[in-house]
Amino acid sequence: MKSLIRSLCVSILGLLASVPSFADLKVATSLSDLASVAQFVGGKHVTAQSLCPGYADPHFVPAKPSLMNAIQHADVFVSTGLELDAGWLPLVLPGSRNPNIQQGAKGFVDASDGITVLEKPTGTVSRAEGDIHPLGNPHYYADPKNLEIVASHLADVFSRRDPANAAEYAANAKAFQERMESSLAKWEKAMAPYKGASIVTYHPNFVYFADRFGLKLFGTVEPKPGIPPSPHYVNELAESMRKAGVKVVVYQPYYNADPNEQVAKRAGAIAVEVATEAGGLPGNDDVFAKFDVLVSSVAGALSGKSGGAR
Amino acid sequence: MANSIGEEGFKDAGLEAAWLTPLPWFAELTGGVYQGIGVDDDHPLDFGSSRHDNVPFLGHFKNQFDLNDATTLELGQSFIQGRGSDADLHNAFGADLTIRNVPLKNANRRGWILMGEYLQKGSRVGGAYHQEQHGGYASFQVRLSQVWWMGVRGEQARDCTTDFLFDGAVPGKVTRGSVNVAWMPSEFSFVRLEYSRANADDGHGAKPTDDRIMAQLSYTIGYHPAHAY
Repeated sequence: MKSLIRSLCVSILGLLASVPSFADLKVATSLSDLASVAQFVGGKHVTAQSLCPGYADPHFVPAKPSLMNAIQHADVFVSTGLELDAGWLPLVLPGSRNPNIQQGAKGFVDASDGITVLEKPTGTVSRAEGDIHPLGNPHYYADPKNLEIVASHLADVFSRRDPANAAEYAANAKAFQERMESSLAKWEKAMAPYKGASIVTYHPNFVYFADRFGLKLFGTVEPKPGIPPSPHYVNELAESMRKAGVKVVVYQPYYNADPNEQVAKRAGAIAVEVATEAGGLPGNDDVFAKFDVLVSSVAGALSGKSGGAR
Repeated sequence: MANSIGEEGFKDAGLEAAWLTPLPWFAELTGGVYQGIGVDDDHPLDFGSSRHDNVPFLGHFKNQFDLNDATTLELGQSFIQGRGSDADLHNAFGADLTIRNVPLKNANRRGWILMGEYLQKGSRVGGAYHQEQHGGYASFQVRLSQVWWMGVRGEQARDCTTDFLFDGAVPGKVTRGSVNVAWMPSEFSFVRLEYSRANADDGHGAKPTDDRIMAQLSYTIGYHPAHAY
């Protein structure tokens, strides 16, 4: 009996000794891009996970109780901010019972801090305008420059939460920014021939991308944010696109392809499915790959050489 | 539900606490104690005794499992006990099951919810348990598109009193079925139309029926609320 107990103790100690060391910070985010940036900045000291996969609409993440479980022991929560996650995060955060990451706590980060926000509504904000965001357009992560700001912000937060590795976080953020700058030069070169070109998007989530690369947004397939288009509106938009010579419609994987393709077909244009979030489509697992694919898809569509059926 | 145990909700003051257990799945235990005051026919679960030793208590255990990325299974058990105005112990228990499918890629256009619940009310007199009203329901809702939902629901309440049957005096059985369709032109508004038919039976030959058509218009104003799962 004694030998059995001894061998059991030895086995348990052996198992404990073989348990891999865990990261210093557990980070959760409400957007896959933010998890990608957090992982670059945190390196081996951070495990970052997004509650919203890149192929899901960040407005409409089901507030499943399992998400609350997933962040129960998180050290840092990074919210997209500007109310992009207002439809689900206010249930998930309190549901986690994790005091460290509640809004206002040291572990809660609003990633939009420091971003120059576009399309801030002026005057009265009313439901008659659809599901608009009163704090401004929250899709800032479609501009590579804005992710540099997020990286710098996260390095500061991680350093405060884990001072022992502060130098490493700062170095990682700097490396991220340098890589983003060199990549941006490549993407700007790819988009340069199309400066001033007009595109139609399903939802107003290309505003920052268009601003960075000099595109014009002709309109949206949604008549108002969050409102699906009627057949009459589809016809009207297609007709005005035809008259203006707009040749490209872009939409994310989580939107219904049908109205986008109908508009494109009637306007003699191309409808292209693109991802504005990391992991939205195969092959764009991190933010660099995302922009590689996004830029080449939009540039390809504008050149008329690739995209959906015309 | 109302036929089995009365309208939902406590009116009385109380204290409630919930604990998210460290189990690998979502398992939440809720417990509460309430001040039992006053008799209210519409709220029999409030119990009625104002004796100072009457502290009605409630417990709920909610478990939720992810079957896959899109589908979850939820199992719940509830129990409540307190002393009534007759000084006897009264209690009620329930069990519920929900299977919900919300595909992540088109969370605002597709999905379905299958729900069922059983509730039973009883009392303990002289140490013996007496079953009182009991019943259950099952419902299925499906999202057809971003703007259209439809659903069916069936429910049965036994040994219950019902307003359209016997003026609430004689325990009987009520079976109701309903279909509904909802149109949601935006996140902030919906129009819902429902038809329901109920058959009642008092066990002594009386079998009245009840047909209802309900139209509901809802419009939300103010801050964009989070969407409950």
